[in-house]
Amino acid sequence: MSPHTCSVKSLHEELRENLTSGNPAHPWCRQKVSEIFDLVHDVSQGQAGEKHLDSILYLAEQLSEQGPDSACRELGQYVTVFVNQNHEEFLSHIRTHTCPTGHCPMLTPAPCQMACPAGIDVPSYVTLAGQGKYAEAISVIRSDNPFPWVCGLVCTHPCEFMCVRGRMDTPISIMDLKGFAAEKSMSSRQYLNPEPMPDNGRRVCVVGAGPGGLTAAYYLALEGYRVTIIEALPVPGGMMMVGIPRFRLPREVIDREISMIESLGVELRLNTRFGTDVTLESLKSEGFEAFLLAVGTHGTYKLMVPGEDDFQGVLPAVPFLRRVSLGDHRMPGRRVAVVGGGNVAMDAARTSIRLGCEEVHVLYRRTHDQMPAHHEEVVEAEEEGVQFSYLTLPREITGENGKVTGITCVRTRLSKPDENGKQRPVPVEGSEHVVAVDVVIPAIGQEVISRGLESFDQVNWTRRNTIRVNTVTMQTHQEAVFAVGDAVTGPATVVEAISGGKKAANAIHRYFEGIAQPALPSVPVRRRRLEHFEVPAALKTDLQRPQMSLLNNERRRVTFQQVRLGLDDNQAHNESKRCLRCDICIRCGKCVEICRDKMGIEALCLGYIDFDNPGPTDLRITAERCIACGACATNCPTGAMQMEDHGGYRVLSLCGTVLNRLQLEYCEICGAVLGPARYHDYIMQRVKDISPEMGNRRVCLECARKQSGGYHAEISPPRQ
Amino acid sequence: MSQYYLFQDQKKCIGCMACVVACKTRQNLPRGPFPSLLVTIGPRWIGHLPRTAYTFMPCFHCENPWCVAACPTGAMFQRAGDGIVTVDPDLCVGCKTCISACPWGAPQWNPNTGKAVKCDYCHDRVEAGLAPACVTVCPTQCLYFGTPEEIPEIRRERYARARAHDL
Amino acid sequence: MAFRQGQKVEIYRRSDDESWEDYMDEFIGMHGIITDPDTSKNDPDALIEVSLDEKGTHRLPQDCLRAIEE
Repeated sequence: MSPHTCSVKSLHEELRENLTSGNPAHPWCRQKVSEIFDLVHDVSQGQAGEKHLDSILYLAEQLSEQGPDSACRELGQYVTVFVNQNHEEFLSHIRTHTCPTGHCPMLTPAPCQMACPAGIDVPSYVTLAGQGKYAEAISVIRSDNPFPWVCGLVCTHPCEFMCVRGRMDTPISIMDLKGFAAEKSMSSRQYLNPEPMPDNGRRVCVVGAGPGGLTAAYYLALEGYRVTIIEALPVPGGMMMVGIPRFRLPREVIDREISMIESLGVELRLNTRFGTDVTLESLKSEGFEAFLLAVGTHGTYKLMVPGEDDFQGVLPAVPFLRRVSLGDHRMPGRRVAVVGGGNVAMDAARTSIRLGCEEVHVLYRRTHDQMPAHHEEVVEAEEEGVQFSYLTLPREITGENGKVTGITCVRTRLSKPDENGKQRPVPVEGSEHVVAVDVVIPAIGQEVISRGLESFDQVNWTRRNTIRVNTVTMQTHQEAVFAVGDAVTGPATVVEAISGGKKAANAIHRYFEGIAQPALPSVPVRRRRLEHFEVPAALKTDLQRPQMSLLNNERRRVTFQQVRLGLDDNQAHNESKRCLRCDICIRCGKCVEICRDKMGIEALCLGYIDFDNPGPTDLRITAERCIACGACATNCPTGAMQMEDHGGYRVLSLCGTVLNRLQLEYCEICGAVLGPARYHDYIMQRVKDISPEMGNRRVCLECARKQSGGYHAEISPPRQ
Repeated sequence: MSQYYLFQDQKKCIGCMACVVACKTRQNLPRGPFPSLLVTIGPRWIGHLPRTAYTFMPCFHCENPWCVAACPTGAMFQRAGDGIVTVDPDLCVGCKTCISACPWGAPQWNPNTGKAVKCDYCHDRVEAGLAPACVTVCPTQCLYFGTPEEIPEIRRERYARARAHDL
Repeated sequence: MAFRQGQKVEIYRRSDDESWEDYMDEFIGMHGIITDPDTSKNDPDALIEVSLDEKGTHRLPQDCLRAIEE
């Protein structure tokens, strides 16, 4: 068996093959084997309980001990050995409804959930949020991410890039729905912590109260650990608090979510710098047995141009944003040049606008298209009045009387692409010009400040000056020392830090419990298995991704109020209806293939199912063409495609999207349900050459048989 | 018409359903489908006596089978050599058109496999020189399997006798 | 060329970078989308975030990636 084949699925298939080929032949054994098969089937469907495994082993033991023939006894022994060898994989199917290899169709997470670094069960919370069950949605999210509100406002949402609906039109507003549900449940006081495990007395120290450290603290506290977080700054939150400006992420949001973590007994020691205020020795003597380094990247790259260190008015972006976040709202100067084209540069420029700076320039050495900042950030910055100078490279910072007066730049052009397709900015000779400013904000990258961490002498560092870890477990090379967040990845995202924090919490728990660490990254856990709700195909198609209202531009330029105002109830509920429920439909394409290639009907036009070459999707065409034969539903491996009769109609639906609805016809004799007229017509069309007179009789097969049996009955001697 | 014929002598049939059970067992079928069925007619008063008849209803293996014409995938087919009408489960997608097309309700639905199933005269047994399962288990031996020429002339004889009695 | 957010890429080979781990070998040949490129200065040496079709989101070195024509 290849290591990448799911053991549950392979046992399931082996038993099925045995049974269909008539093995074992003895009826007693056959009974036992089919019972085992049913139990394994439940496991592969995620419908098994804890006792399933015991029952499988019990039945297998019966086979091997009481089997009447050797083939039967061998099969029993085989099942026992196989299940014991793959015990952990069976357990993960049962306990977390997760197939670690992704081979069991019913347990395959949706692409959005797979894409989420934290592995949030997106379809479940999108569905819950759409039904108004906000607290439940939040508890689903917090099983994998203790910051649903923060992430609902500032996540880079990789999920939306992988959203299957995006191949049809635009992705679901997954992030906005999360923010919406979080705000709703927080304001109704339904945002609750789960019940933690009893205190186990073990102490863990986290260095850095950013998203990574806080997440690890949250999951460790839930496991019963006593966690203390050391934070150098006077506020917790890390870059969420001092990197991301308030107009994107209000402070209340961070404070409320952190206080939820604190209420689990996590201790926060602010204004405490590791290596200065506390040391490894002092912490060890306090009883800390494991350490998590989550110090972030609070150092900044320098521009490396003359004048950078000579004048007052050069404010690197990271300390600048930190200073503003900590409450210093003084205008840094009248005219500001921000150097760089990334998200941090946008944040610095937009912050400067809000502080009252008259002119804010962003100087970027390449073109608009190559600017690495997210598109919406750039657009919002432009709206607020930030001026962009592309193809502009700073050469020197100039000043008078110790203060910055300008930044000398040259224009650049992009070189011809080299063999790797890379285009470099090349200075244009003689294009020197001075941008007159009194503040220069370099925003060209961040790095870890490793000062103070020397006492972790066995921790290895990468050539990128980040902490080297095993990215599956977040273990460093030093025993009992783990690391997460930007300090490991370099400047990255909030959700990646959260993902690392969760992995580290799990690894720290395993470390204390002496459980072997995983070798492969874990597959996200499906938290719920929710029924889909019915939506007509036309509505499913027509609903549009909502346009979020923004704060008006005048207000945006003078205050730090949140720019994105959130979804309203109606928008959120409708948005949830757009979801294609990829947690149910695995896009295997069987339905499309059968309808088109086998039935020749082509009633399913689901181009979105293909990742690499998505084709057109038309959910409405099904109602025009489908004969309601049900072959698609019969062959659907997950029950996503369903055909049911209710209310006098035969209804075909895909994850709740009603694709076709045809009126039913009934047996003339007994009133039993026949198919719809279109189905009948399809058959008539096919048999018309051999059965011209079959005509329009509507008789069910039971009655047809009975009638025909009556014709042939010799109940009395036939008369002449 | 297939080259085989399955004849039931209704006078001998006691309605024990052994044939039906054997048929389902051989095809390993769950609740629901009956590729062959014993249809009970009656009881009716004939003269002063209640009488019941049992008609065995397997598939007639028609010469021009409607189920074959209706099947869009080619799963339902008539064997070239002997004319037995049977279904290839690998090709069947479960659209049930054969079931709806047959005027006698011969093709049946197997909910476990999601495919059609029907009487195939146990062709594997027939090829091995055996009789179909239903014929083999019949305790009154009222079922006969063979070529149409071999089928006993029971019904005709009985009819002739009845006519003679009327005279 | 620098990778853009939303760009479709293929992991076409094992990376020579020290940050490549053994479990990543399984990703070779897979397709995905760039979800978080280096957002400060498009550093070709930075690790960037890629979401793979059915295989999760990972931060990978850029020398193993190539863009897929659309």
